[in-house]
Amino acid sequence: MTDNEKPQRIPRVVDRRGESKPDEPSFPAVVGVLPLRDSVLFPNLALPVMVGRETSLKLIEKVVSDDRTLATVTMRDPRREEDPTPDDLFEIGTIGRVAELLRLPQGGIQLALQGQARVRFVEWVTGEPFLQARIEVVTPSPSTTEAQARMRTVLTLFGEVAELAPYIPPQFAIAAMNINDPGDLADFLAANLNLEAELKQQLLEELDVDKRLVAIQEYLTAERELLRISTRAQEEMTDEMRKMQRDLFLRRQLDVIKRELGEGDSEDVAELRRQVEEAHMPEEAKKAADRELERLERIPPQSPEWSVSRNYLEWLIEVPWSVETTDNDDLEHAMKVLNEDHYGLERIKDRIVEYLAVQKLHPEGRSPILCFVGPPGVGKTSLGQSIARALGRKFVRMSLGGVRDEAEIRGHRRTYIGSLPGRIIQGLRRAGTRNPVMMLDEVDKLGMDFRGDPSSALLEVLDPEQNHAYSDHYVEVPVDLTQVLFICTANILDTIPGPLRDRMEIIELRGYTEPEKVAIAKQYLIPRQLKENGLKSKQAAIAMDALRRITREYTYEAGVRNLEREIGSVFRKIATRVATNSTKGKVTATAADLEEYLGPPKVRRDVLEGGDEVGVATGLAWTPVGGDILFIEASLVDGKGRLTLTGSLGDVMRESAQAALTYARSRTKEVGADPEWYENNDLHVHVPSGAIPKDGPSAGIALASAVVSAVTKIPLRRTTAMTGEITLRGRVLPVGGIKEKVIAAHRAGCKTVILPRDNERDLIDVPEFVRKNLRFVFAEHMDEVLHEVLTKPVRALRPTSAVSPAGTAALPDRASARGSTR
Amino acid sequence: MDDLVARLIRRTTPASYQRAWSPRTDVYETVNEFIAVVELADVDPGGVTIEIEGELVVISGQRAPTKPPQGAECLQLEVPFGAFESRLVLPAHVDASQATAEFTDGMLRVRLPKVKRGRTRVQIEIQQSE
Repeated sequence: MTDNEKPQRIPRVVDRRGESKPDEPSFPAVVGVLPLRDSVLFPNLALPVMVGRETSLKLIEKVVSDDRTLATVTMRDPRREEDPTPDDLFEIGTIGRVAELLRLPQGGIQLALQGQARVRFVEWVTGEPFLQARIEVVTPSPSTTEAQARMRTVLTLFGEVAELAPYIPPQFAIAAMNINDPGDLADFLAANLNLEAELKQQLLEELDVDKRLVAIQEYLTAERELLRISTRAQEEMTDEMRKMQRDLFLRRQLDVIKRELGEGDSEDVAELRRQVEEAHMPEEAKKAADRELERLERIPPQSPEWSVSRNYLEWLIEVPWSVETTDNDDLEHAMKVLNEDHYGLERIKDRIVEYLAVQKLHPEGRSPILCFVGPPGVGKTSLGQSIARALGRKFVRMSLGGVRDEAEIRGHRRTYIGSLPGRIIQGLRRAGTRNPVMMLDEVDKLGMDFRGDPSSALLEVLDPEQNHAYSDHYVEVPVDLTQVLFICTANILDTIPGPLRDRMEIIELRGYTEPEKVAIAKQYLIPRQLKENGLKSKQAAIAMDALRRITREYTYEAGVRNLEREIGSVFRKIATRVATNSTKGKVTATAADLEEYLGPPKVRRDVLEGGDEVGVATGLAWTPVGGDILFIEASLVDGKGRLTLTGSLGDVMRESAQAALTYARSRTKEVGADPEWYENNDLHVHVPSGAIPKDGPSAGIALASAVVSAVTKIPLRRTTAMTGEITLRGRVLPVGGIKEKVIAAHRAGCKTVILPRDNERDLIDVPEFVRKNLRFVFAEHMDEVLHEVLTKPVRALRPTSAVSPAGTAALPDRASARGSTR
Repeated sequence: MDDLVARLIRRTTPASYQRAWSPRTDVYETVNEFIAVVELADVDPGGVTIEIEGELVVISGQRAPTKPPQGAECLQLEVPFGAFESRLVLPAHVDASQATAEFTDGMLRVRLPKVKRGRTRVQIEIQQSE
């Protein structure tokens, strides 16, 4: 350029009057079409586009060397990979131009498109090398007054949204303010708001400006609500964070201040460390404790982990690793203590003394694991306490009745919230020594179901081979349980799982006999009840005959719980009289006074009432709470040889009755009965009480006796009780529970007891007192039984000729009569 | 995930609104006039319109797109083209009849004399209604 060069043409200067519309730009009729993926170009707005597709690149090459004008259209499916065909495109697009272009070094072109007007694609001119279309510019409806008014509303709304929305830069709000045309504003907002491509396309296609604004307005309103909520949430979160940061900061400062004051950074940890040192833990536990201490120091105290860690350490410290009481190995003292607390129970007392003796000779020996089995109220639990007292050890008792979760025994892992060690470790802590007497009550009532099997966890506890390194899930380090004297109690052995039963030394406690009960009452129950009722021994007493009557007529149990209760009642009544001063001097309750104190007798002695009867045999039963007597009734009525069995009989007992009947039929001639009796009669056998389920084969001989009696019309001796299984040939097989049954027979007032010959040896368990007061008949064959029990001798029977080959021993029928828990 | 990325991209690239591109413009003021210098290289000055209305001055026109040389490949395009418009709002009224413009070396200089107007005082009588 040179200085001479004059401007050829001068710009027009006009005095502007009103808004003069610029000329509508004209566009070519056919243009190349650029398909857009997931974005929409709006008129008068810019849109950055990345172009990579081969056909699109060709289109751009062509356009930039020409008038730089092209049309864009959005694809219906943004995920489509191949070149779109006209079917894949919307019908309304935008004409615009390539305002800027930059070829990227990695290939592809970055474009800035400038939209100019909405167009409709009238006809597609397909073919290579790119898509072209015949277009027609569509003009939106002219803006109305409503649109003008709505524009203002939308602007206000947008202002609010822009203030809240982090993705709208402030200059856009200003730019929006400067737009005068409602349609342009709608397009501007549509392009800049966070809209789905599909919605943008809908706004592009909407030619009614007012409707377009309505859509924008709706979106903005929803967006504003959303933003308000999220802003509020964010503010709250920030507040929370600020508070936490502040707390942390203050705590740090506090730490520094404490350090400056010489108070140490973490007194707690130091204290715990001292306790760990003093706990004299075994090496492994010590290591675990040290590790945990280190961890604790690193955890900030406000963290929830801190208290978990601290709790764990406290537990570790409180397990009595080395604290131990010295056993009182004075055998005489032990015997004295045991005798003070309990009457009888010689075998158990001997066992305890034996244990003490062994302990004295071999102090590091293992403790035995005892299991007391017996009916309720015989003193199993208090015996445990007494043993602890005799040994001078701590006593802890835990009831396992109803425990059904393994974790109750062995604890929960520390990862669980609120986890604790199991009962064993808790018991140890409670005892505070490593060698307490630990009583596991009711092991027979451990629950067991899909939630776990606590008895399996107990296996480890109770195995002397394993429990030197018992591991609790919580404590995690092995704990030595060998010094613990475990005593379990149970009512029945059957429900204790085999492996568990196998680990224990089982000591059975039988029920008490009447004289024993009276002795217990005299020595223990009466003094205790006197004390409990605030009486002195010179104020009240119970005469011996009254005591005997209470045991016999007011209680019916293997143990002495009810006896104690009844004695308590008597004393309460006396106490009332003493307290109201209605009596002077000592009150002694006698047998005759008992109705006044306790009401009518509660127990009916079946045996005692009535004489011998036809068809009623006295059987003996075993129940978990001791023995019992059982009447078996047989009745013959006219009929056709049917047998009816009633009284809640189990299958085994029913079969036993069938066998008894067959035996009776086979003996028709020998017993002198009507040969036709079976054809012409129905037989009904009933065992009261009808509501109590009964089972087992041990009533066999009693059933047979009742049937024979009914058939022959010869009465049976009521005071002769019997038990024994019967075979079809009339042999009498041994049964179980002899001890309880004999005691029950004695208690019921029977005179004679018929037992299978093979059970003779079991009598050794029966207290001497009982044995002395009963006559025993040992039978091998049913004929001997009949000879003994029928009131009228039947000559054809062979009283002593019961020669049958020695049979194999039958299994004891522990469950010969279930239920009957009084 | 792709959706999220798409949303983020959409958020970060807002489209700017323009009906026409704005040429860069310097504006000076003297006691009597304003002088606007507009950068309008390669623009046909005959197609430039300067509209004046009071203190609003609008300079508009067209620029044709640059033609690429024969056989060349485009690497970068950023020179604006098409309709342009420069809108100036000045601190005083401009006398449209006195305005002149000259176009040299691609720069358009527009002289815009201020309207000379004396202050007039108007007394308005306030009527009091009975």
